[in-house]
Amino acid sequence: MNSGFRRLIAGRSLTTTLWRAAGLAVITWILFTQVLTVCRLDGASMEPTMRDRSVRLVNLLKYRTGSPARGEVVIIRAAGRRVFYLKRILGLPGETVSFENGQLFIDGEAHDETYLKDQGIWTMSPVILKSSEYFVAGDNRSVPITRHLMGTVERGRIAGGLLW
Amino acid sequence: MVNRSFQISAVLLLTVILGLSLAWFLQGRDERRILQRQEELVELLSKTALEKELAALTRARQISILFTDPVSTGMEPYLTGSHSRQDMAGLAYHLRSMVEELSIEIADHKLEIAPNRNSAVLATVARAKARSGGEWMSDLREVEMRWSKTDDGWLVNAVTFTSAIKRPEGL
Repeated sequence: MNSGFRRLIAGRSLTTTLWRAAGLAVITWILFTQVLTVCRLDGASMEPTMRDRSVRLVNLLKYRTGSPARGEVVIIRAAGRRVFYLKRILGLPGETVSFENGQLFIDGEAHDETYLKDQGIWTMSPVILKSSEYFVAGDNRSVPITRHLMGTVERGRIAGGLLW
Repeated sequence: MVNRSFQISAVLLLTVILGLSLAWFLQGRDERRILQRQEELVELLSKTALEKELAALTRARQISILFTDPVSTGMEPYLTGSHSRQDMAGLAYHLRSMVEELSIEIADHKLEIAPNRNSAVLATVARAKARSGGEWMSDLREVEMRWSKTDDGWLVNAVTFTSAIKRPEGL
């Protein structure tokens, strides 16, 4: 083998290069399984804020120490590690959430959702959240409430928060 | 020229890879069998073209023998309760005859086998696409399948629709 080519592939020492490559592989694996994940949206649930088929980066460590806050976009684990739901947190544990003609009410008080382009006309009777439950919904309020996947989710199912 | 430290590193790496492969092989036999059965079920349920009556009935029977007798279902609003294997064959035949094409893709899964290794829970995210009357329909569902180890291998003894996001009552 040409010595220049060999140097390019193996570096000064083949052993050191192999260990570095193994180390890099481990770090990359940890980074993209435990810290960050790239996901592609499939569906119109978050439109128009987030376009169908757009690519997003998720921080899997975001809620390891803290708790999700109202208005944050989170990923929710279904089964396995490849498919997640992407929804916005509307209600926090212990709160009562309701909708009246598109207006969100938290504990009976109107709450403005500045991130929405279209408030819609959703109406929903009050839902009281348990101490480990959050209320989530997508931003696409033009879809009838009966056809939009929204509702309560257990804290343990929230796997991370949107980075961008 | 290969030096001694390289030889030691290579042997260490090879030992780790062999150990992991052996552990995967020994631990994963039941997992592989269940996932193979699940793939078989998905393949049998799929339909790519119009079928002759006999072929459709044979498929329905092949589907039914992947379930225990009886099998429990909680797939509201379509199918709930306890069903015999014969019922399952009839339901599979009916479902497949209603559509011109049907494809099911398991988008994600999580398998948990009980410590006694006689039962297992397979949580899946399944995407079904069907063509009926020339129109395509698509649905994404979380489906939980409970499996039992029997003399005939691993069989499904319960199928339930689940959802990480629970809709409020009445919606």
